[in-house]
Amino acid sequence: MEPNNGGQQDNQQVEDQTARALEVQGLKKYYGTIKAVDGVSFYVKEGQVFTLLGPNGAGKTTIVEILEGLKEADEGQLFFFGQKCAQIGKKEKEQIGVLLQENNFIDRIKVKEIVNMFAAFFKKAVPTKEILQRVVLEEKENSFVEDLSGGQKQRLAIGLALINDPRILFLDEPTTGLDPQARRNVWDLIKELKNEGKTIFLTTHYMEEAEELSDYVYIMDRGHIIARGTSGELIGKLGQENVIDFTRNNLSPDTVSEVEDMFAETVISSEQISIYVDNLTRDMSSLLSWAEKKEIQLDNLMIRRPNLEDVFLELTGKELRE
Amino acid sequence: MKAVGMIFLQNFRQYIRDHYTLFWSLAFPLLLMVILVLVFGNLGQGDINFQISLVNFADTNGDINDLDMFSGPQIGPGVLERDDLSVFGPGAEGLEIESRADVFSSSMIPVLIEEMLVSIAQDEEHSWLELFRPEAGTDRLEFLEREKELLREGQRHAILVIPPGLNEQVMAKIGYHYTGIGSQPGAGEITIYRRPESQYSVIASEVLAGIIGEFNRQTNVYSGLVDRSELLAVTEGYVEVVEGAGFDFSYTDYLIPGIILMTLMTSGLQILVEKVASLRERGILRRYYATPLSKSHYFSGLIVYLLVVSLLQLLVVYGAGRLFFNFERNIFQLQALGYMGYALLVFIVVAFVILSFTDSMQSGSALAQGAFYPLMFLGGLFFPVTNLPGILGIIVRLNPVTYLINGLREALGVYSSPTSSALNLLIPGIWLIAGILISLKFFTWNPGGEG
Repeated sequence: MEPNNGGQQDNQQVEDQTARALEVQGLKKYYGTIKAVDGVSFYVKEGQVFTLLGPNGAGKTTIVEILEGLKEADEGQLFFFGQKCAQIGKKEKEQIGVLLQENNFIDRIKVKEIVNMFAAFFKKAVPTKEILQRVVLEEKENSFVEDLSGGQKQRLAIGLALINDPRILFLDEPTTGLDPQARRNVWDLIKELKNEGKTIFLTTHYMEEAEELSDYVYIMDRGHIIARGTSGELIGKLGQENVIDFTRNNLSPDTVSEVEDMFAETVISSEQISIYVDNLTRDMSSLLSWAEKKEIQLDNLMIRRPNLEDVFLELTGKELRE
Repeated sequence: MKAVGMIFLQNFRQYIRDHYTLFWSLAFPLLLMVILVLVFGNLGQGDINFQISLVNFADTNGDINDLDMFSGPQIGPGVLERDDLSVFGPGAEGLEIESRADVFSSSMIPVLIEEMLVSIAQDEEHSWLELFRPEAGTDRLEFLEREKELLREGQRHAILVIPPGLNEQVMAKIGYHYTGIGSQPGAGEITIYRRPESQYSVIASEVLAGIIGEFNRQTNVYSGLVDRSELLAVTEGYVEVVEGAGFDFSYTDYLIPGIILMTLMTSGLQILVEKVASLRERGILRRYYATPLSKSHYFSGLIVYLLVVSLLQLLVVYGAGRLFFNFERNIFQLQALGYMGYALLVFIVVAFVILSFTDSMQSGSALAQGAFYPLMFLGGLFFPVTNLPGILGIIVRLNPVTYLINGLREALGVYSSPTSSALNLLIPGIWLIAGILISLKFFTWNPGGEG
């Protein structure tokens, strides 16, 4: 799992001749001395759900805002459906749909009114009724937006992003702050769009979201791409079949060190100990024997499959949500 | 254009759905109008009838200071105060009173001024002015002292004093203009007494100053003099022009243009700042910016909305003025509408300047309030603010509202503007241009991003 910071060739993608919806090369954006995005390169194939995964502050939103035309890059090249462009302008905006990280709506506006208003911003627009059916809000068309639930507002925001039938859809943290049911509903909507062949550029810090929705994942940290691949590939590169988790609680540093010494691959965070194992029966048995002998209680003991969170932990030594 | 229409429509829908905004933009001006008219307007007792004294010393010769008429601490050029009386206008010091001079040669201009006031007072249609003059054979100094006492007691609203030597000064000024010989003489100087704590008195003196200003301006036009800050009068044409201005005056006539400008300031400044600051802070403008909607289309829609709201406010204030306060000025004439449009434009630009230096709704709103009240109260919208001392006086002179309201009241024929038309356009114009330049440089609808 080699970090690729700035490389534009990707063997797995190069073999596939599908047209590129979007490509960036050597993208940089600095805020004073802070390198928000530091020489990032990637491309997104048409019809693909492309995910940028990383913790808050990794540079995901800066990248997506450059691609939405809200920010200008300091350096780098940008190709939009094969055409080189200095920045995303009015012409490109006719072809993109945007869901910002924070979606606020103007006050005292009805659902169908805001959809009609956004439709007027584009040369071509999908009929309002169609959009409302799409995001399952047709019964709410005469409701004021402030009366909608959080999940309904998010669906409306996605509806607004679809108003121009975009060729590429940018979804920046689409489920942040939603309850599990609302999150599932949004995922279902994104999956529908994916099945219809829409190109989707997704940023998230939820690894389960990335795993559930993505065709291809780039993992970012501190302005750099640190890994890329499909979810399966990235997890597979860990080389471990299972993970044993338990809560760290008040284990002494010496006890924690003993655990580290017992297993080949262990990740210790402030709250949790994760042991990556390839022989679950043997390693679990060793752990339980050790705990019994030491009279240590292992709280919240759990066995699970590795996920992208583990990939990130492995690469950076920290959790995605930190 | 479709986008412009939608932006307008949506803003207007929000406006009519927001009871808070409706109250402050439509109901509050009416409430304020009623309160001010009740407090200052003598509502129910008919129109104002200003009682003004005129004392003409032009045909006398003597030293006014020796006669202890103008003694007291000097508080500014041409401004003297004594007890509870203040004297403003040029000509408060150093004037010679002759015993008796050739009336024809030394009193032509003073007589014209006197005749002008007499004609206004005697005009049956314009009954707002009651003029008091010394009877033949009366000692004018004693008369002046008596009138000052009546002014103190509230039985007079203002006293206009024409000093000796006025005619000579004016003639010398005109002579210098044509010959260019010697040093330029000072202006002819007229003194107006008022009682500062009485709003009636302050307004009366403002109106007198406006009449003199108009007299001065017309005289300048006829004599070809370009320096319009000086008092000059030589022709007979001015009397007709002054009368033609129609000084049929009541407090509601004075107040309603002020209320109109206040409503324009509410929509152009306050509503705009709060709306844009709120949308910007909540990321809504950024969301718009992520679509092909251009800034010019967005702000065009917003300005159309402000125009419509302003027109609505105008109709409400005007309608209430006509229905309940006998306001009969024609506000739908080109010059008045021009001043109102100009004022709205200035307020919109001031709003963008505020938005250029604030990044939150709270700071934007606070700064808008901070600008709104000084502009309103130190702009003479509800009562005169001329000759305020110190920093307040400076603010009044720099305040674009001072000039806009003068221009609007003159356009409506309420009174003749004490400031020239050129100044009434120039000072707000400076604000307008400076504001546009500042906004172009610093305003962004996408803080932290581009645009």
